Amino acid sequence: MNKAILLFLCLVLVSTAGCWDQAELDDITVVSGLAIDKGKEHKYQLTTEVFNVTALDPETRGTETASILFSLEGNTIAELAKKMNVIATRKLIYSHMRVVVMSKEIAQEGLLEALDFFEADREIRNDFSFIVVENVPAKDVLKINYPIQQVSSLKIHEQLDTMVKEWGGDPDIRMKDFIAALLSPGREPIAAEVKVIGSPEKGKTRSNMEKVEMDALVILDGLAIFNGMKHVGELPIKHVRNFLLLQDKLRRTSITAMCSEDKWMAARITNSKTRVRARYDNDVPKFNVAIDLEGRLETIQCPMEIVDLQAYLDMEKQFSEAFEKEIEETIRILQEDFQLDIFGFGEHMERQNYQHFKEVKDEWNEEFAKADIDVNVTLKLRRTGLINDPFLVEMEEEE
Amino acid sequence: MYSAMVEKISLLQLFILIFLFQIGSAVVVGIAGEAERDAWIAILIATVIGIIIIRLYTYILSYQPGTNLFDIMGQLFGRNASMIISLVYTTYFFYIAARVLRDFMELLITDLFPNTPIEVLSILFMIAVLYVIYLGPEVLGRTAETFFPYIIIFLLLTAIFLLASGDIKMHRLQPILAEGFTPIHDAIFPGLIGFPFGEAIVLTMFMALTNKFQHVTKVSIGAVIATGLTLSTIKIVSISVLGTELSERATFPLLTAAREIAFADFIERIDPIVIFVMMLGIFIKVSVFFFGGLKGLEYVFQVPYRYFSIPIGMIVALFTILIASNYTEHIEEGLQFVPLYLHMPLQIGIPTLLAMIIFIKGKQKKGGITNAE
Repeated sequence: MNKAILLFLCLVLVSTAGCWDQAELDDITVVSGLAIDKGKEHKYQLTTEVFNVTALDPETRGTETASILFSLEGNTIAELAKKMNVIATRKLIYSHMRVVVMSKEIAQEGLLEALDFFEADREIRNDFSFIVVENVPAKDVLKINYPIQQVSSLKIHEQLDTMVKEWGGDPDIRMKDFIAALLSPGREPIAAEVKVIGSPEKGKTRSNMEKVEMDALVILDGLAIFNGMKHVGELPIKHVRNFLLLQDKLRRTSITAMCSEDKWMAARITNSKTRVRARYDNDVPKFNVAIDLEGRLETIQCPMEIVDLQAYLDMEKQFSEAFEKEIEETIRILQEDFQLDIFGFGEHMERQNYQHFKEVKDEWNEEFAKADIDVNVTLKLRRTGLINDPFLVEMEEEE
Repeated sequence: MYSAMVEKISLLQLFILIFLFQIGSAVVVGIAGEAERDAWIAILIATVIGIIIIRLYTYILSYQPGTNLFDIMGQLFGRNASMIISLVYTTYFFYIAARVLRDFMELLITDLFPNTPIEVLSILFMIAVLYVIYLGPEVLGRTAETFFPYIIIFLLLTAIFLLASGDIKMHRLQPILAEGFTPIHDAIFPGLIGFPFGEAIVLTMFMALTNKFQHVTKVSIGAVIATGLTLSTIKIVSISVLGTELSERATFPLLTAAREIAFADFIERIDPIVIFVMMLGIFIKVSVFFFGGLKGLEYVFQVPYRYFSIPIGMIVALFTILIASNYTEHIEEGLQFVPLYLHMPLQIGIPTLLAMIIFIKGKQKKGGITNAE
């Protein structure tokens, strides 16, 4: 009997301890980002950026580079991802990658089928930034280093992340949002777009990091607009904030409005809420967009006494009107130049007037182009900075 | 050997068994896909039908409290006929046990152990199951009692984390009832009735073991209501996190939803916890079906069920792999073949027949007595 138990225990030991799926830390390399370009001989060229852990640790850091790039060509990303050991030594782990960069060429030809792999793979999660690069191959974006964050994928990810928190310059689109927009009849997909300024050739060496004015930098460029899977155009970065606001996803921003001839004032928006009401009026879709903003006055160039309730109310009105114009401008560009509903107005219509939406959902973009969209911004300025009246008021009085 | 006569489970244990049994694999694979955005409504309506079904089963059991389905069939149909029906039920129970285990094995292989052979996982799982069943239904009852708080706490935490990380967008549930009741009807008949609600037929084995039969109906109905509300909430969560399109395309919707959790830069990548919760539910469900099947063998062969537990357990582990050569085949069988040809006759057909016979017999008996007086 005892022998039987012992045998059984041994069996359990054998069958449970030998895990097929273990990967020790010194057998793996963590991938920080991917770049997808059009291949010369095959459909795709995949570039992976991996961490060089020794160079990230202050104690072991030498002159070696913090990240290494590998490129391979093939027809599916899935195969390339596992084939990287043609070049690399260890098993690559994709679960912590921070960015996926697509070249504009890929986007324009609509070769985004590669996204399916990112959605289906068990390692990859929906927390990486999904971006299109405007002027260089996607691979070059990962080459350009930056002294504070030496791994370029991390730099871009954090740049986008901070941008959306501080000003609202990144659409905050994850891959799942992109795919959801592709599938939704009432919305067209978009992605963040970056570009490289300077010389990407010089940017890929460590000496780029030794300069005060760097040879190459990755900068945010705005929105890449898609029609289905095809990249059809760009919007400059000033429109990104308005896009976020219409999604009710804007966290914080700063806006500037004119207070008199070439005199400006700025407000910091700390809270925003957007409500969209959709209805049909004689076959014309009508939208009422009510945007409530809350913020504080940050600076004013006009010599105005602002410890005055009426002045406050006037300023609120000026800001609101200026912002309203900006948003309407963004919507107008999309309605007239692109005729693409990237804002998801169709989804609002779907929720609020489903029966009517159902009839027009296949040609929703035409409906959007003729839609009557009324934007109404209400800004509440709650306080100013540490100074009430600006020094300009005193100066004016002295004159 | 333990004697089968003294084994009793409490009403609380019965409640927990029914609850865990019914949410078991329903949280893994996702249910009521036909109703799309309104799946949660379909589940609520199906709960009402689930109550009727479980009332049907307790009505059958009330024919002779303390005996299980097989004994009652024996008394009503005669031993020969009931032996055939019992063998059909036994096969059905073992088959569903294998199906349920397969659901979970697919999840494990897909998400956690891509390189581990499925055979190893399913044999290890079945060893645990047959050990519990070998120890008897009392032990299973206590095991369920132990699992219960973990399942509730982790499911709640998942919902709270999703809420906290801002992933739950209730507007994704709109428009409600856009296409009317047709998709809801399609989801309920026969899909939702058979799975998870009708599968409660195997729970009659445990209802017969409770010490206070007069409360069983109340407790069972309570458990079905609790299940319905939980499943409906889980559906609301997964639709409001993933949207309709993705929650339909996802192989395991709740898992995909849990992968979205990213909260305070600290609580993220917690999908193994969700899998752990699912595992507890699956464990109960497989054990219950396995026990149901063994009880059928006990009735047919008149041998204590424990003699069968180890060999049959290994057969179930094997059939977990053999029933389908790939996941698509497995799911297609589950959606097309099983509800129509297995669930409907065995969960609704034969029990309804039994209930009708019992009803008529009761009438005759009463009639006879009044005539004699």
